[in-house]
Amino acid sequence: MIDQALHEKIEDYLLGKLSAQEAAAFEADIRNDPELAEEVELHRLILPVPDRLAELAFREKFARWRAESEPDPATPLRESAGARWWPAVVLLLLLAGAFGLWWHYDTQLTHEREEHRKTKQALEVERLKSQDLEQENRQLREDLQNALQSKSDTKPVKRPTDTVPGGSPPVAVAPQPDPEWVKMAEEPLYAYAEIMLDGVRDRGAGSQALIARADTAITNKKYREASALLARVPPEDSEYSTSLEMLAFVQFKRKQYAEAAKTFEKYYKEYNKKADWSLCLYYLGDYPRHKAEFKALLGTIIATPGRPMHAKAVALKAEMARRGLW
Amino acid sequence: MYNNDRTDDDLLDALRRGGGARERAWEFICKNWRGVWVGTVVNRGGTPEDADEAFQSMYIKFQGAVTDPDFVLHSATLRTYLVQSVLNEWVRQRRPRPSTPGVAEPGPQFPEGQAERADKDIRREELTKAVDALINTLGKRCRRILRMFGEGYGMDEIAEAEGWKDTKKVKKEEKARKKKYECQEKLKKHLQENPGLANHLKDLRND
Repeated sequence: MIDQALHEKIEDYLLGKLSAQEAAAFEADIRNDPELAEEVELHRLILPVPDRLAELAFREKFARWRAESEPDPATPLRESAGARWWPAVVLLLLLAGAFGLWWHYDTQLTHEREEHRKTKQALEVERLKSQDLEQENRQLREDLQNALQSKSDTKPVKRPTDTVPGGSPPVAVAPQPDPEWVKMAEEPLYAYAEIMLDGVRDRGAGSQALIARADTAITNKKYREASALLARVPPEDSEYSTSLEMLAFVQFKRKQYAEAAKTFEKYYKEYNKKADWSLCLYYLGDYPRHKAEFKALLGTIIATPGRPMHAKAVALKAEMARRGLW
Repeated sequence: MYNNDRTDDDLLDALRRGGGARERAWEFICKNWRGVWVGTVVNRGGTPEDADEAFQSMYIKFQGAVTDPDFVLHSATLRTYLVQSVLNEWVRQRRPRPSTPGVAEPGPQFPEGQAERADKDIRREELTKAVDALINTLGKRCRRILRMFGEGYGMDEIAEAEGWKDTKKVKKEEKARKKKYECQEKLKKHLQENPGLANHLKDLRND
C-alpha cells in the first residue's frame, strides 16, 4: 500500500489535473520506476469505479424524476387513453348493471307495496261498510221490536202483495201518534239540539269528520245514517261525549225513547252534570219507564230557585199536573 | 411546453461544478427535456423504454464530455446536443452483436465495419460487469464515498454527508480524503490478490 500523497498524485495524473510540467516529470518517474508504473497501472484499473457508482445512482434518481414528471408524451394518445380508461369503463358497466338490477327490484317492491296498501285500504273500507250495515241491521231490529212492543194491541194491516202462500204474513207497523209526554219533551229538545249541533259544525278529519257527517245527516233527517256514523266514534276518543249527546237526540228522533234516555243518562253521568234539564226531557220522552227518575230530577231543579231552567221546570210540572200526568 | 428557465451556460456550469448543483441540473434536464429525446427515438421506431435506457447509458459519457475544458457547443443548444447523444446511443444499442467478445459469429454476416463496432460494444459491457464485480467487494461506506466522488462532490461535502466534524487534530475534509484513499487502496489490493480480474480489466481497457 502506497502512501496517501503518492496515491493522490497518481490520481491527479490519471485525471489530467497535473500541469503539463508536473505531468511530464511524473511520466519520467514512471518510466524509471517499474513499481510506480505498476501502481499507476493498477490505479488506472480502479478509475471507472466512482463513475460507475455515480451512473448506478443516476439510474435510481432518473426513475424517481420520471415518476415525478409528466406522463410519457411519446406514448400514442389513443393507446394510452384506451389502456387508462378500459378499467374505468368496465367498472362503470358493472355499476350500471348493479344499478339496473337494484332499480328493477326496487320498482317491483314499490309496486307490490302499493298493491298491498291498496288492498289493505279496500279491506278497511269493506270492514267499515260491514260495520255500518251490521249497526243498521241491529238498529232496524231494535226499531221493529220497539214498534211491536209499543203497538202490541194494534192489528197488523195485511197487504195483498205481502201474502205468502203457506207462510206467515209479514208484519207492517202502522204510524201512531206520539204520546203527549213525548210532545212535551220534543220541542225543548229540538231547541237544545240546535245549540248542540251548532257546536259540531266544520269539524276536521277522523272522529271530528264523523261528527260533522252525522250533523249533516241529522240536518237532512237521515237519522239512521247519523246513528251509524255516531256509533263509530270509539269511547276513548275525545269526541265520544259529543257523539253520545248527538246519539241521544238521534235516538229520540227515531222514537227510541228508552235508548235515548239511557244514552243521555250516560252522557250526563260521565261528561256533563249540568245537563240535568235535558236529561229530564229525555226521561220525559220515555215517561212510563222513567217516571221515578224524571220526577226526582225535576224535583231537584225545582228545589233550587234561581238556577237555570228553574222556571221551565216549574211550568212543566204544572202542565203535567194539569194534564193529570204528575 | 417545456420549462426553459435555465440557460445552457447555467446548466453547463452546474454540470461542471458537480455535487448538488450537478444533480439539480440533471433533474431539470430529465423533467423538462425527456419528452424531446423520447419523441425523437419513438419517431424512429423505438420505444420510450429504449429512449430512457439510451439516455441513462450515455450519462457518464455526456458528463465527461461537457466537463472537458475543451467542450464547445458551437451553434447547437445543449438540448440538441444531448438529444443527439441519446439518439447515437440508441442506434449503438440496437446494433446486432456477437455473443462472445472478439469473435465475430459466422452468421449473420455484418456489413463492413459493423462487426468491429459490435465487438467494441460487447467489450464495453464486459468492462461494466468487471467493474461491478470490483464494486461488490466494497462496503457501504466506501461505495457511498466513491459514488459522491464520482458525482463531483467536494471532500467537505462528503465529510458532511458522513456526519464528520472538524477536530483539533484533523479537519473533516482530510478525514474524507483519507477514507477515500483507503477505499481505493482496498480495491487495488483486491486486484493484486486477484490477478485474473486485473488482467481481464487490463485487456478490456486496452481495446
